[in-house]
Amino acid sequence: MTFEALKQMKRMKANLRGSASLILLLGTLAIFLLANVLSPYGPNEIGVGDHFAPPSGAHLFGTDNLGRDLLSRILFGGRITVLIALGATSIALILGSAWGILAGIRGGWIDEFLMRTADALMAVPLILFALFCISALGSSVASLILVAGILLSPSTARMARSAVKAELASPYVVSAVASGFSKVRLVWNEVMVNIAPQLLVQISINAASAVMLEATLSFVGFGLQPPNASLGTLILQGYAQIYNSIWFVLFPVITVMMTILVFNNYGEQLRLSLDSKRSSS
Amino acid sequence: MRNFILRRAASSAIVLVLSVVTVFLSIRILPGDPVLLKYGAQTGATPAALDALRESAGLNHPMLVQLMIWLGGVVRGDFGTSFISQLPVSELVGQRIPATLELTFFIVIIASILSVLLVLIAIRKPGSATDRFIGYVTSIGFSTPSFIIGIILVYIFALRWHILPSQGFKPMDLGVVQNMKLMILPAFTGAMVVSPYLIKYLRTSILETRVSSYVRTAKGKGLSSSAVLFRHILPNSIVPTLTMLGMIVGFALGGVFVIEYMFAVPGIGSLAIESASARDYSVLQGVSVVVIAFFIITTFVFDLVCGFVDPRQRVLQVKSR
Amino acid sequence: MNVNRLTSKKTMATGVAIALAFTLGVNFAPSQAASKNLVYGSAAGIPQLNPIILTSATEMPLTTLLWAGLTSRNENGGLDPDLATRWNANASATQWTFTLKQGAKFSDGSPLDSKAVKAAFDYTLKTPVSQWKIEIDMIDTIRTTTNTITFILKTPNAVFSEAVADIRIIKASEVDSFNKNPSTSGPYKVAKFTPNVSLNLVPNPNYFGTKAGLSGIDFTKLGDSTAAVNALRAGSIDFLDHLTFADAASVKSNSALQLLRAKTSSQTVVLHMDNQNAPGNNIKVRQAMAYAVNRQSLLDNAYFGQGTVSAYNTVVADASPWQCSAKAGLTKYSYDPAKAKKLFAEAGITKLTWWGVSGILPEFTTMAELIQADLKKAGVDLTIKNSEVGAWVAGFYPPGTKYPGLVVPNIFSLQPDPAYSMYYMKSGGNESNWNNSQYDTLFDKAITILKPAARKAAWCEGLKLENSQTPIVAMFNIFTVHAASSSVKGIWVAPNGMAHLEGASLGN
Repeated sequence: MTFEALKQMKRMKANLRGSASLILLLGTLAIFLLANVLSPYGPNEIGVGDHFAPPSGAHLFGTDNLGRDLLSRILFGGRITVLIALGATSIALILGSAWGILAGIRGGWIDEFLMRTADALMAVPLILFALFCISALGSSVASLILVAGILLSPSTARMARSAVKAELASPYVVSAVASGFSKVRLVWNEVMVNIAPQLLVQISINAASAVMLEATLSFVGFGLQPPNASLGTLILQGYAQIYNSIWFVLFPVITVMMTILVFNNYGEQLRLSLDSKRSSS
Repeated sequence: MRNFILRRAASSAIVLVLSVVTVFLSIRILPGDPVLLKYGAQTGATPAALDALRESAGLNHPMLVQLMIWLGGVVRGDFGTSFISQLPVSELVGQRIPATLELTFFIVIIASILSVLLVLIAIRKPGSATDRFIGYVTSIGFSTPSFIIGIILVYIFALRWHILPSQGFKPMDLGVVQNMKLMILPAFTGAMVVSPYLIKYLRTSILETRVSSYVRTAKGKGLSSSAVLFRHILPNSIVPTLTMLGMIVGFALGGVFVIEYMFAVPGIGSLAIESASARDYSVLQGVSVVVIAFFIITTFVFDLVCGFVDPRQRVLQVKSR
Repeated sequence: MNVNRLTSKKTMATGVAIALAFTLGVNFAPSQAASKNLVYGSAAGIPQLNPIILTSATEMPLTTLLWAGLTSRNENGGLDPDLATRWNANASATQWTFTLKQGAKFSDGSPLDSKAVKAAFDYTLKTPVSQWKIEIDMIDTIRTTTNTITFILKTPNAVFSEAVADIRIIKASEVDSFNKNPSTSGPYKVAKFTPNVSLNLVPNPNYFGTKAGLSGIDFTKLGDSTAAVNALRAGSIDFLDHLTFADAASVKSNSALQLLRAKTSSQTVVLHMDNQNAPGNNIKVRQAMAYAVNRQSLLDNAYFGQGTVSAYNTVVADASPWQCSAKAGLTKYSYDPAKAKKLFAEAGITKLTWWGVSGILPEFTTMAELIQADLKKAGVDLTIKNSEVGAWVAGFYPPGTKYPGLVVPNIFSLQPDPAYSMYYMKSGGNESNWNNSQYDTLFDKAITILKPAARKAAWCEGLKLENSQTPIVAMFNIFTVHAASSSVKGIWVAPNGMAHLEGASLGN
């Protein structure tokens, strides 16, 4: 690891140990992953309350159109959303890094080609791409992870490529190559480790985007099968019933926004600590 | 420079062709076909009758043959006709493009104005309460999916206060006022999705240039603050901003389809969705060509412009071979 | 610094003032709705105009707005003369003669005479797939004179005069470029058509009947139900086709709006199972399904109570005058989870899959969740699988498609006469893949009987068979509800849910 990268990692660790954004992030994840412990009712229990009941002691977030407790549905829905986001982020990380690093190392035509493909992928309308994948694969947690992961790869690839290119231009690489070290071995052993801090930031941002993607995909109808619901599906149902109850749409919306905010915030913190030049931001 | 253009054009062309072929094949893999979707639900639709229709529509040829036939048509400028309405694909696409372009245009304009204003307010005193407040608002903007922004705006302005219509579209020739009224909510939704990125970038690059050496030199020479801003800072912030703008236009074009869906704006995005759902192969293929080509060309043009404006970029590009 | 000037309070205030003025001013500017065109909003678009190849429910109102038929249905379920002034049949119902109005024209001025009618019928008979073909495919020859048209049928058809009401008279020579600018025979004609986006109609000056009551109709596509209701409340549309059941209550409470629905319903919500493949080929399983579903609860929760239960489990409604009910020995399939459990256990069924659709018909999804709970009580695990429309349709259309293990929801909007719904249950004609030759024979016999009372008894035989064999679970009939502003008059809704606007006017 270069000295520079080492300093970055140290800074990140120092800034973030005990930082508020990390606590928030871990707290949010904990709440959702512990859904079956925390939720007062089953998420699919029909008729535990009146239809469209406003928030009350028995139902903190009110109930939905079939009398199910909304808080429970949000907790379980959040768990599904978070799982999808984490899965998609992993796919984007692996696929995107490989994509970008390959383009960065090889350069030339391969680089051009890979990057134009990234452009084309970003050009395909989200809804259309989802329509294809989900019609072919059926809508499930796995297919949503796949779709979101693939859609997040181009930006990760872009970022990985520029990071790799920057590293390849730095003195230690240039001299190593001049001394006869193979580029590929260099990347594998040294460069990857040095771009790790930047990749970490990208992961957090990707996770936020993945939550957004999942919510959007579910809202346009490609979400999970009933009676299971992710946060996006809940918003879709709530919006259709907006004349019957404002709470049904309000609570899932706030939950989604907060989840994305928490991921973004953490990513921001990571990025800030990465960059020592920014003093006045 | 010439090499850059040639190489870019060649790789773009290849990717365009590959993408379009992927779309061609993907939609045929999906269950269902245009004959089934158009006639299948009718009383009296027997498998034999449907198959006869498929035969006459050329859908029973092997996929590769169908692909060759279609590509042959495209090269001659003939994109085929819609199976459902029998109207030429080019006509259908032509009917829908204006709405998408108009929406994208307004999104970019509103986003640019909004972002520039907010950034100028924020950098009066970096680190002040105003600056931080704008920072928080931007954070929230980053964290809100487009459709949620849409829901909020619709709820406030249409469902609660009844000031604006919640969706629809009227072409310009039927009334500019009506058209604008219907554009307000979708355009603002799109602008609010896109602005956080612009704001962040613009702010960072202005602040960066402000503390750079040549600005200090200019100030040292005695130039007034405003002159420094307009003669040195802004022009040097333009390149990264232009890059950003390029991405924004692409971003807006891609994200605009969700907004089109939400606000029932009859643009290219909704045409793509409708034709995919109805398995109207030729229409979907035609739309894909248009959209992907447009996107690739836009990024190409922006990269070119940036290379033009910033001579350093051109040199770097040559070097990166 | 110049920046200060840019962002001074004054500039900000001016900017805000301008923006506000624009918004409010734009709101008060004279809007398009001030003219007398009726603005018709619908959640789905109109993909094409040919009424013979009807592809979607949204095209249905156009069949009577743009075209005339020999006869037309009226609000009371009866038949009115349209292009034909009178008609008669021979005793064996194999020959029908219609006398036509003289001097009628298409919108382009060409003659709307017996030759044009024959051309339209020939086209319908020749076209590979048409919704209406099966109603008239017993036609052997068509003979025309100057003012009459005679149909000679291969087999008798007692309801032929009603069948021809569905064959709207198009100009057969235009079929290849139909969506550009079709010549119409009804009260309105097409001014402009953008598929799935908009359609503008204006009165047809050459129409032979009562002149159009509106200066025009503008069809516009809306995105989702919430926006649609909002547009109606805001007055930017005058008529909303197919109000979502969830929104009906909120429209009801609004005095500036009216709800429109039919007097009776022939729209049946059903569940299909594949009668040719397991487990649907086991009558015990089918009967178990019929007992397992809580029809009233489904109606109340998914359709907000807008309908009537079909206890007799036939596609013909319980309240239909053609229903023969318990008096004739039909069984009532009331909600009985215990009985369902017993039957499922006897058949050895513990798992089923719901094959539903996403993006449209949200009521199906609500039903899925409720039926899942119902089936649990009957000892069966229901997995819910929703697909988008194309994949959903491909899973069980056309009749003959195999779908073992699936339970598929569907909704029929047929005419109330049993000839329609019972024809559907004939071999090879229904998605439940029920092929029963005895039923076919019963149907073929009943359709030949001219006298209604005797025909009713014949239909009853078929209903008894349907009731005992339970090829399909017919759960309830629902009322499609449309909404309009109170200034709209003259719209009526048919039992199949279709809105008729031929006589509509915008009055005060």
